[in-house]
Amino acid sequence: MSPDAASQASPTAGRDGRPPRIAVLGNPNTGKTTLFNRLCGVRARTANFPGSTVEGRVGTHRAPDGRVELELVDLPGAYSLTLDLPESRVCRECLRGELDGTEPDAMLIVVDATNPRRNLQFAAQALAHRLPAIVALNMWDTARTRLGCIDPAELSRRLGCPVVPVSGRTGEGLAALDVALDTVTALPFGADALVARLQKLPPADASTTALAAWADGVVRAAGARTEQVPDAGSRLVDRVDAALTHPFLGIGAFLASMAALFAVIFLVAQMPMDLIDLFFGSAAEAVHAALPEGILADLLADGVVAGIGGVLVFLPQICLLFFLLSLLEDCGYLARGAFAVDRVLRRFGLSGLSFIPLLSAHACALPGIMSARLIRDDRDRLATILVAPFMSCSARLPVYVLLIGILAAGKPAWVAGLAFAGCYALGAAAGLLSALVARRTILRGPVRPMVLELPEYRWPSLRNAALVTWDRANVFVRNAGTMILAISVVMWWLSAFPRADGDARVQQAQSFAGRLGELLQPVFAPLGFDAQLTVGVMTSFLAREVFVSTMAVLAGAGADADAADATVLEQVGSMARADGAPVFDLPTTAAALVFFVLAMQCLPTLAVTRRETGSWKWPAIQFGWMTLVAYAAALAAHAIAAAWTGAS
Amino acid sequence: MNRDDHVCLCFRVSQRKLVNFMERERPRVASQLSECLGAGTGCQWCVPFLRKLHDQWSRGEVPGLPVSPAEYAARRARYRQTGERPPDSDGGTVEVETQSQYHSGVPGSSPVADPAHKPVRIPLTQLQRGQRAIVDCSELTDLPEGDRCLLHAMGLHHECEVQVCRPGTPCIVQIDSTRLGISGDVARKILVTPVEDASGRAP
Repeated sequence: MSPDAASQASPTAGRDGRPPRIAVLGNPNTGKTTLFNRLCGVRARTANFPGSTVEGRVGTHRAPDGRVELELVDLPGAYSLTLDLPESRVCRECLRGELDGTEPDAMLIVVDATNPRRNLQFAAQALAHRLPAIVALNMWDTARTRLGCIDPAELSRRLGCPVVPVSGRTGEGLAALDVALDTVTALPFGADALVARLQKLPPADASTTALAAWADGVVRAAGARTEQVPDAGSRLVDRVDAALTHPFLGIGAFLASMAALFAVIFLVAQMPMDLIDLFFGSAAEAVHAALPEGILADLLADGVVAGIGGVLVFLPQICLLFFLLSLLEDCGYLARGAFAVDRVLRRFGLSGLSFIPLLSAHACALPGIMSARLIRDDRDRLATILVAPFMSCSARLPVYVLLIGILAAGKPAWVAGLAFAGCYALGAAAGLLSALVARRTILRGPVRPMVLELPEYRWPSLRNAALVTWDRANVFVRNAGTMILAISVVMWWLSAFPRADGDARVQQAQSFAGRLGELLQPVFAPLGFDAQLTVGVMTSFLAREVFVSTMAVLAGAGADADAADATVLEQVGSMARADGAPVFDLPTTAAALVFFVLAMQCLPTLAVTRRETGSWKWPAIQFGWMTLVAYAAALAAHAIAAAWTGAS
Repeated sequence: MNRDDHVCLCFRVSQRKLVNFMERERPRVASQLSECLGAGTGCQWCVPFLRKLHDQWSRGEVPGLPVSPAEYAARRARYRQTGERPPDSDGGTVEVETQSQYHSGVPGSSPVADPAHKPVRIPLTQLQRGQRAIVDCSELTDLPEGDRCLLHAMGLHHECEVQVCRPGTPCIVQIDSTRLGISGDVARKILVTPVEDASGRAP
């Protein structure tokens, strides 16, 4: 970098009366986010950087004496500032003030004190920017117990900026960091200071080998040991690593740990979910009881209250998922598990970390799509988000129960079991094949070389996991929640208007949604769907579980129907078309089942996809592709079943 | 070798550092180069090369070594295994004379690299557990530039020393205190020169 760039002195504190902004940056796995959480606690929020799906966090930090208030921007961990990768780009743009037009007032470069050589290469690239800087020598609690620990004072002299040993996990050294942050934002940083710093750094165009040699020299001069000496535990660590990344053992261990994870989520989340459901059910009843019959009562009870309930019911699952995933990531296991399954998913253009969102989507696509944030590569992440709703979520279960119940009526139990397994397998296969198609068309691009850093095994931090959970829950409720609520109200309006005199069945058929179903019946005619079934399918585009209650209403069983109820199954199964033929003959039932396995019939999922990708383009592609695949597959299923029925 | 390549592999002292040191300190004899980050005081393989650089600099020539970094590392690996230097183009060994001269400060002859000598390089996947090796990234040409840069930034740069934690495919290597899991297709393209024999492996 040219020293000319430093001709203008940097400001001494925040501009326009705002608190000074500090960019927090460093290599991945340096404990950067733990340190950020320690500094900001719950005063942080997740922010998607403009024009990028990379996320960072912005928080405020106030020193215990209350004198200094700082705005900290936690940038994504990057291995280098010069790479053409989203995380590197975001860091570069932030340091240049190109991200949101506001240049940071200083940098806090987090360096892992147990691995200074590689971290200092990144620090050198950051220090070449015209900003005052502090190097936080993180994980000091671990580093100082090792022989040949780096000397912070000497390192400070070599880098030309303050170096503060800290521990994000224990909170050690934070008081000194506060003092350093106070000083660095208060003192002027002019051209002279930058020139003095640049003289200590390698040239801007230094090769990676030269950069490594420079870092090596600095580390050696600062007293740290650089040669590799296996520590006492490394043989055990080697063995554990060998098992956890083994092509078969590793995949088995990963599947087992994920099965345990989701078993815990299902078991523990069920009760709070039921309570939330119960609470909002009672609240809706209370609204109905308190207000006179009419549109306002319906809107509040069936639109607003039901909409809020529909959002919050997912919260226990989302909180638990992110809490447990944070623990797994923190202790170092997640990287190993992802590494083990990577070779399988790579064939479909996905990464090892895609496994978690895809598995999670079997419970519900919403937490699945949100957990795709774990995936570092942009294309891998988008492909995972696009195909996650193909996985059979728990909302599909009532529909499967109904349709398989009709399909396998009078047949041995194993037929129904096979059909259930087939539905899950069909969803997973369609998802993987769609990912392959996406990676070869709209998300075409090089697959990153599978080189993954395997962080050290550590005790996970409960505080960190709790903060991550709090953050994710906030994101979900604030962003997805508001959108889902709005959509729920709109869908209520579509099914409640225009008002029709008569029972629920008449209302269902006369509503905008019902009329739309009738209008679109010719489209679904090749699948064997009559007008009633089309209305059921159309209303289920809001949420697929609505299909059961809609069909029950149309069959005259009542709106509170449950597919597990034998009467409902019989009534829906015996529904007749206008010409007297059964609605659910074998080809139609098979086509409907395949359609429900593959179709995108969940507006909250589309809303979350929009939120996570930052564009309506991706939910539109998701909806279009899934509907197309579902229609084509249902058509094929109808034809095969019709041919089979004809043959038999 | 270019200016950023390491001449002293024990202490990772590059040719650039040595030349800068000579320009700054103007050493009268080659042995004074040991004051540049301890160059030549480890396994002592580089002593004849340090001598050659000093000779060239003393004569006012541009210091340089006509040997590729990979070959240099491979020859050093063999030297460390057998304790003997590979014969130079004159058919003799330069080790005893130049090493003693280096420490006594008497100028002597310089080694000449053997251009016909092939370095011992094997794929990373063929190393055994605990074995150490010097990485040669020059064969990674079929990886896109961005991916190569990512590997370098993660610590897997040319001439770095790795230790194998899990051999085979996929393999796990340790560079300093960083563990990297590398898939088979990438690991097979990374050629390495083993620097330790069986006795040098992890216990």
